[in-house]
Amino acid sequence: MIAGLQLFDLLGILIASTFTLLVLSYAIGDNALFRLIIHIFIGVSAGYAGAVAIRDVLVPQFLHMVNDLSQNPWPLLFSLLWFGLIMTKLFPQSAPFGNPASALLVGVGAAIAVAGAIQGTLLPQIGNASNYFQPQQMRAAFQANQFGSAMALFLQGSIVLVGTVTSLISFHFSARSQPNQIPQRTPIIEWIARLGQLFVAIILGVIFAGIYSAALTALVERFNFLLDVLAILLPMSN
Amino acid sequence: MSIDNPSNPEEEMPDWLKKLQGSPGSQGDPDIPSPVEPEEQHPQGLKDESSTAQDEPQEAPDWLEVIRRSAGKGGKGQPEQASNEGDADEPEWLRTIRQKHAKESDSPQPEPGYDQITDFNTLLQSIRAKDEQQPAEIENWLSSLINKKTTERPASSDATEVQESGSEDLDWISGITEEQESKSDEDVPEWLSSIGVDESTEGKIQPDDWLGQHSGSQATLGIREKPEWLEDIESEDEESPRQSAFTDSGLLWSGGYQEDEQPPTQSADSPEGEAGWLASFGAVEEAFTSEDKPVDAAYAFDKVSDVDLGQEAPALPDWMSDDDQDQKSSSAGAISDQGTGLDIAPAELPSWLQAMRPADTAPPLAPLPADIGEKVTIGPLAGLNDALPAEPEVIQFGGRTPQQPSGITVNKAQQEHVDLLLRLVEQEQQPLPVLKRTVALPQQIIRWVITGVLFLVVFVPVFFGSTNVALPSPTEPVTAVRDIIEALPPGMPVLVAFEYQPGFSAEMQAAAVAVLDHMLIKGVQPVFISTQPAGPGLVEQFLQTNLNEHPYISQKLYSNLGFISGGSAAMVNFATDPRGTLPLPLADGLNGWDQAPLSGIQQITDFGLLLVITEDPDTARSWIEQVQPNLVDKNNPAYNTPLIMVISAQAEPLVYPYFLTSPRQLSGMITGLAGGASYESGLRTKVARQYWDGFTWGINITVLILLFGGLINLGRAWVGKR
Repeated sequence: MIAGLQLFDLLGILIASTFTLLVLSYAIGDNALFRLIIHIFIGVSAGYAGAVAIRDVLVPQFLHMVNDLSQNPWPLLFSLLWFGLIMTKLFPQSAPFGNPASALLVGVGAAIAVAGAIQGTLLPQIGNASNYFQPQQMRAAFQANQFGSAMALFLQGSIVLVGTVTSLISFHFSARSQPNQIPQRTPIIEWIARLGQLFVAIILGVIFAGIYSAALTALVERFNFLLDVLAILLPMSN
Repeated sequence: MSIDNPSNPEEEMPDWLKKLQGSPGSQGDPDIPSPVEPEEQHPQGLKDESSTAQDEPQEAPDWLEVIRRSAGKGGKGQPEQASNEGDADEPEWLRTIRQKHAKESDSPQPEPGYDQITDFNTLLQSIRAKDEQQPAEIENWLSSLINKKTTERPASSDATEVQESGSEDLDWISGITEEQESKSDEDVPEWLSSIGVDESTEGKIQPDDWLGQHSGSQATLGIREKPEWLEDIESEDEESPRQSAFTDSGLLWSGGYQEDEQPPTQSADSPEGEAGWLASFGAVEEAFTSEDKPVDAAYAFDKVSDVDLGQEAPALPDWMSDDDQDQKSSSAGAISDQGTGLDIAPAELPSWLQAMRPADTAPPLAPLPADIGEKVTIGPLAGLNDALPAEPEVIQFGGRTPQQPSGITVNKAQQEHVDLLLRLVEQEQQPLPVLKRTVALPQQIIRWVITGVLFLVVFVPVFFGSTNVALPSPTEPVTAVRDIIEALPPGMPVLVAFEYQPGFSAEMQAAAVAVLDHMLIKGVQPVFISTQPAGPGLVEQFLQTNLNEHPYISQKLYSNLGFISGGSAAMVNFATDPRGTLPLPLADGLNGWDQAPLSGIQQITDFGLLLVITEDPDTARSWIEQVQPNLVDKNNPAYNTPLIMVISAQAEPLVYPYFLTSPRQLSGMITGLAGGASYESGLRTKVARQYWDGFTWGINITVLILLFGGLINLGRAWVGKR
C-alpha cells in the first residue's frame, strides 16, 4: 500500500499513466503503440457499454416484468415478442420478419425527434429572432433615452438576420444550365453566398476554438495526473 | 474438249478435211467448206494433216460449207466458184485454203444435194451419212489452217477486219502469225510454238510431229476425212439430243466417242504416242456414256483428271509440255501446209491468253515474313499475325468506349466532370491501399518544435502549481447558474444527468466540480442519472475524486439511478413517468423510490433543479426539446423547474441560443474550463484553479503560433505573387 492506495488502485494508476504516455507519443509521430492504445480504448468502451446494458437494463427490467407477470403479463409478452423479432435481423433469411420491430424503433425515434425539433427549437428560436425587431422594445428604449441600447439591439438583430439568411443562401447551389458553359449561380446569389460563407467560417472557427480548448484542458489534466503519479511513486518533498 | 485420237494413223481423213486440202471438189462443192485462211478464226490446236490430205481424197465438211453459205456465198456450187474466182464475198482465208488444197490434191467433189443447214448437230449427221472413210487425223487441216506465213497471206478485208476488231476469238490466230514473223519464242507459249511455222517450211503449214505422225505426211490444209472423234460425236447425237457444240462454256468436242470405242494406247516416243494425249480425253467418254445431259467443259476436264494418265495416257504432246524446245521447233517444222501452202506466222499471245498460262510456269511466291501485318494481341486469335480480328473494331475487350449520344454537346469542362464522376464510381469498387503517412522533414521539424513549445508552456505552470493568472469574471450564464443554486432550499432533491463521454472527463469535471460543490454546500441532495452506458461509472469516479469531502458523498447517501436506455425516448419517458421508467426494487422487497432522497419524487417537476453535464450539443438539445417542456408544473404554470447545463466549449455556439430565448429554455450554463473557473472565482477554488494557469499559457502560445504562422504564409504568398 502506497499513499493509502490499494493494490488494484495502484495498478490502475500505473496502467493509466502508461497509456497516457503512449498517447502523448503521437506528438513524435504515428506509431504502433499509439494504435494499440486506440484499439484498447475502443474495445474497452464497447465491452463496458454492453456489460452495463445487460446489468443495469436487461436483467432488472426482465426481473421486474417477471415479478409482475401474474398481475400484468402483457409487458413481458410484448417485450419477448419484439425481442424475438429483432433477433431475426441477425440472419438474412429471417430478416424480413424483424421489419415491424425495426419500423417501430425508427418510427418512434423519428416522431420524437420531429416533435421536439418543432416544439423545442424551431418555434422558440423563430420567436426569439423576432424579438430583436419588436417595435415596443425599440420604442421603450427610445423613450428611456437609451439610444445606444436601442441601436445595439437593432444591430444585434440585424446581424442575426443577415447571418442567418446569408448562411442559408450560401448552401443554395441551384443554377441555370447554359450551353457550352459551366452552370453558375446568378451574380446576386453568388455575392450573398460569399457573405454567408463569412458567417459560416466564423462559426466554424468558434467551434474549432472550443474543440481546441477542450483538448488543451485535457492536456493540462493529463500533465497534472502524471505529476500526481510521480508524486505517489517517487517520494517527493515539496 | 475431247478430240478423238484416231486409232489407226493410216485412217483416212474425213471427207470434209480432204476437201479442205485442195481437192477440186472442195472448191466448188457446196458441201465442202471453204478453206480457212490463217488470219481467220481457227480452233487452237487443230492442225492440218498434210499427209493425210495428200493421200486421201478430201472433201470440205458440210459445216464449213454452211458457214460459207451463211456468210453469203450461196448454195451449192458457189463456193468453188467464189474460191476460184476470188469472190469478194468469200472470206479470204477460205479462198486461200481452197486454192492450196486444189493444187495438192484432187478431192472428190462434195456430194451434191447438201442442203444449207444451221444446226451443227444436224450437219454432223449429214456428214456421217455421206462420209465413208474416217481419216485418222484432224490436225492436218488445222495445221494447214494455222501454219501460214504472213507473206503468203492474201489481203482480205475480212481478215483485216477481224484483226482490227481485236476479237479474242481471232487473237490466237493473229498471235500465231505474228510469232512466226518475229521468230521469237519467248512470247509464244510452248504449245503454240510447237505448232508454229518452221522457217524451213515457209509457205507451208508445218504441223506438229504428232500431227504428222498420224497423217504420215505434212498436213495440208484442206478437207479431211472425218476423224473418229467426230464420228463419235455424230453417233451420240443419234442416240440422244445434244446441245450445240458451240456453247458458252467452250467448244465441246466431247461426247464424240462411242461406247465401245477406246482411246488408243500408244507409246510416248512414237508419233502415235505423242498424240496419245488425245487418248486421255477418251476417258471423258465414261462420264458421258448413256447419260442424256449436256456436257460441261469443266466437268469434262474433271473427269479427265480421274484418269490415270501415267498408265493409260500416252505422253503429252509437245505443245502441252514444257520440254525440249528443239522438239517443238522440229515438230513445228513438221507441220506444214502441205496441201494449201499456207504459212501462219506465230503471233504474240494476247493478254488474256497470257493470264491463262499454267501456274507451274510462274515462279513460286516467296513466303511472307512473319512480321507482315498486325499481330493480334487480344482475344482468341492472340499471337497470330495478319489475322482478321474476331470482333469488329468497335468492340473492345476490357471495357467500353464511351459513346456520346447524338445531339448532346459536351464541352471540355463538362467532360472533365464526367470523367471525375466515373473515376469516383470506379474507385468505390477498389479497396483503398493502406498508405503510410509520410511527412516531409521540414514539416516534421516544425511539428516537433510546436509540440515542444506547447508542452513546455503547459507543463511548467502545472509542475510548479502556478496560480498567478487571475480567474475570469463570471458571465451572465454563469451568474444565472449561481443564482439558481443559491436559491435552492436545503434538502431539495436535484437531478444531475451525467451525459458526457469518458474522453471529455478532464474538461467536464473541471467545469462541473464547482457547481456540484456549491450544491452540496447548500445542502441539496443530488440524484444522479445517465442515458450513456458509461454514465454511472463516471458518476462514481467524479464523486469519489472531487467531492469525497462531503459527507453526503463519502457516506454514499446519494442515489445513483444508473443507466436508462433509449436515448431521446428514454428522456421523454422519464420526464413523464420517472418511477415507471426506472423501477428501483431493493433486495428486501422495498422500493427504492420510497427511500430518501426519492421519497417525495412522483414526477419530474418534484425535483428542484435539473443539471445536465454533457459535451455533445445534440444531447443538450435533446434534453431541452424533450424534457424542458415537462418541467413546467401543470398545476402551477408560474413555477418551472430550472434547467441548467455544464457543457463543453465546443458545444457552446449551438447551445447558447437556447439561453437567449424568451422565456429561457436554458436557465443557465457553464461552458468549459473558463466557465468553471469563473464560477470558482466567487466560491472556493477547486480543480479549475489548478488547470487555469497552464490552460491560459497554452492558449496564449497557441494564439502566438497561429499569428506567426499566418504572417509567414501571407508573406510567402505576397512574395510569390511578386
